[in-house]
Amino acid sequence: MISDRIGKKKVHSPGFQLLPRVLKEIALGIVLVQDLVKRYKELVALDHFNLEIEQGEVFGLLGPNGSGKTTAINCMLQLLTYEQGSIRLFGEDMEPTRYDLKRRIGIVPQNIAVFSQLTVLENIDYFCSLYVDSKFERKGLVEEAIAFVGLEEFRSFRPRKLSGGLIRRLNVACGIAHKPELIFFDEPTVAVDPQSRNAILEGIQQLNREGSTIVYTSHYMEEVEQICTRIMIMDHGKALAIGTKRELQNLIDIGERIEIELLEDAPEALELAQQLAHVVKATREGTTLRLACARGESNLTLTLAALAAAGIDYGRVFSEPPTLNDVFLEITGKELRD
Amino acid sequence: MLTTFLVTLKTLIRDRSVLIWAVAFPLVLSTLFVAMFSNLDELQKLDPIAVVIVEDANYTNAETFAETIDALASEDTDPDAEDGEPLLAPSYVANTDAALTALAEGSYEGFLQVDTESMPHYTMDARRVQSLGFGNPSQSVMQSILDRYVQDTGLLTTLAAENPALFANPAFIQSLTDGSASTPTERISVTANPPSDSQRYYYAVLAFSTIMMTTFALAAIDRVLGNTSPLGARRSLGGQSKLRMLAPTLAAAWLLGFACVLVGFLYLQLVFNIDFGGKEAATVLTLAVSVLAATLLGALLGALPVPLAVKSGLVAPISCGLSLFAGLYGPFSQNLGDWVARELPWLSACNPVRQVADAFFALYYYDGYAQLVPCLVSLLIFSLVFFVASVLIIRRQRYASL
Repeated sequence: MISDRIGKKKVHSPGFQLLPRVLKEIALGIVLVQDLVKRYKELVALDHFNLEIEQGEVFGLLGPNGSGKTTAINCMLQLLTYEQGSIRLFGEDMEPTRYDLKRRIGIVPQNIAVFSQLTVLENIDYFCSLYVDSKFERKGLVEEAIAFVGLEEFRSFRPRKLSGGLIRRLNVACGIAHKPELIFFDEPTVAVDPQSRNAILEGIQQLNREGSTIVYTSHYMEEVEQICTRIMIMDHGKALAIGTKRELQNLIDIGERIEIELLEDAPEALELAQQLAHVVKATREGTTLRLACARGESNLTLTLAALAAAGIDYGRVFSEPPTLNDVFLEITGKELRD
Repeated sequence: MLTTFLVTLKTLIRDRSVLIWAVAFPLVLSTLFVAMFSNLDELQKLDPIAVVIVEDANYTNAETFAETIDALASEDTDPDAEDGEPLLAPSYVANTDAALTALAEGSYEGFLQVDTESMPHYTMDARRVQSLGFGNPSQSVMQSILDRYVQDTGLLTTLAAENPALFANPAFIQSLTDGSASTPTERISVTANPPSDSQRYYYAVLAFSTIMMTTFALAAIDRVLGNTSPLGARRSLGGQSKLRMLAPTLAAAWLLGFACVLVGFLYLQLVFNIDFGGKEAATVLTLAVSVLAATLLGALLGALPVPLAVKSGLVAPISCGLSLFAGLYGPFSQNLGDWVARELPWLSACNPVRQVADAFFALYYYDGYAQLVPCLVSLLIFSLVFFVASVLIIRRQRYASL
């Protein structure tokens, strides 16, 4: 799909000019942030923040409230000033007046940002017009965006007549109608019903398949796990960890969670489990034994062998590897945030 | 840019709160003012004085007096007269008893009768004298008419006795009949249109309406800036320069504001017959310049980095405060505004509402445009100042915080 887009661009610019640009983007990455520092008076919102995103990625930015995710996006898009650092998008230095670069970017902000006085169709057309001048060209793009988010039946509705989920979808459509190469989704599924959330996530994956690079921030671990190819966990304006889901899971000293259904009530099973070296925490509720293990290659085998050796019979056994949520909490801490 | 222009128009037109403050409120206020002050000028006019004439033999013999009464009871054909209404509304009765009976009914100011020497006598209804006191205008008018008649009759009698040859001169007779001999003064108007107390209110309310058009630009600019609303932030991230965003936004706000004050102007002129001096083109130009100043003031207010509700809340106090010195709130407000204009002219010149009201005055009272130009120049200077101040805020591409 990326090659399709490049082919389309050839209509506007000669191929020999396009090739160096593509090579530059491949070499430098679509997003390159180095040593970014942003302060709100005494508060350091971004503390020597670094980020590199390759073309075609779905990159997840994970972090608790106030960790600096939205600030990082707003700095990258030149809406916020920053004290230090450099930002390059598409291999070019990003500046407030680089409208040529801004035209290649889409933004789906955390807060709903549409005109309450305009219809669905008018809203999408207007936001598309910020990037595409030709009304004729826009017409097709707007229709595509409406179909993409499934708002065909609501094109003449104003936002106040739409449900929360539909408004979120409109918010998405306004950000992607101009077919941007790089799209920032800043918590696009907040306060959305499961159906709409699923539709939005599938849409993002489709956009990625069509060639867009995605930067996605969310509180929902399962969303990030579902769609992101690489993930950064950040807190206090710093990148704490970055990698694929598997790489992040390997960063922490937490292994799988094991749940064993005992065939009869056996209190000694809990004592036995607590004595096992790889078990971090063990609880028993009736005939169900729950174990949290340290990272290890054969935790399940060792546990079952110990039970068998003690003559404790068991039925069904469930083993669940550590989730991204575990990783997140392990890295950012479990204390409550604002 | 065209899309931004059209979208700004649509969003403003569909914004009920904006429309209420910018369109409905001034129209309602205009209607209230017309209802309150439409009879203000009528109070200055004198209705024909209802008098009873005793039409007896003496009256019939006093031909000159009877002709005078007839002339005063007929509609004025003098083109310089402010209106053609007669001065007297006489009713004729046969004798004094009938006149007294008519007076007792209470419908007449008094009655006139002529004695055997053709001298008129006026008898007033005692109740009217008591109730109206010395301020009774009809009493003054009747006294003036009769004094003038007695004086002129005495003068002519004396002239006839001492210089009878004079009456053989056709020119002298002509001067007596056309009235030039007895009218040493000529009535002229020093203003293009007759003075009117109510005009001040209508001009002040239109000036107030004009400044209320700040609402449009305020709302429109708030939706453009990155640090004022999520919508503004999103628009700021688009692939368009600030100029391409702001120029059509302000143009749309101005156009809508201009259309609204034009409706207000036509409403006052066509529905309530409020006179703007017959200079429609100059009036429309004045409105256009006034709305430009209001729009750019709105842009400045809209650019302030505070919530929209706070900014919108500023419009009414600013408009009402400035209107105080334009005479919107009655005689006290008018006197205060006039005092400031006399004693602190620079302060008055700094009040756009006063300048707009003064511009309407200039159009109404002055023949030329010499008095209008300073008002328009003041408004253009306001526009420039507001524009520069708002651009200094709006031109920022990035913000320290959102």
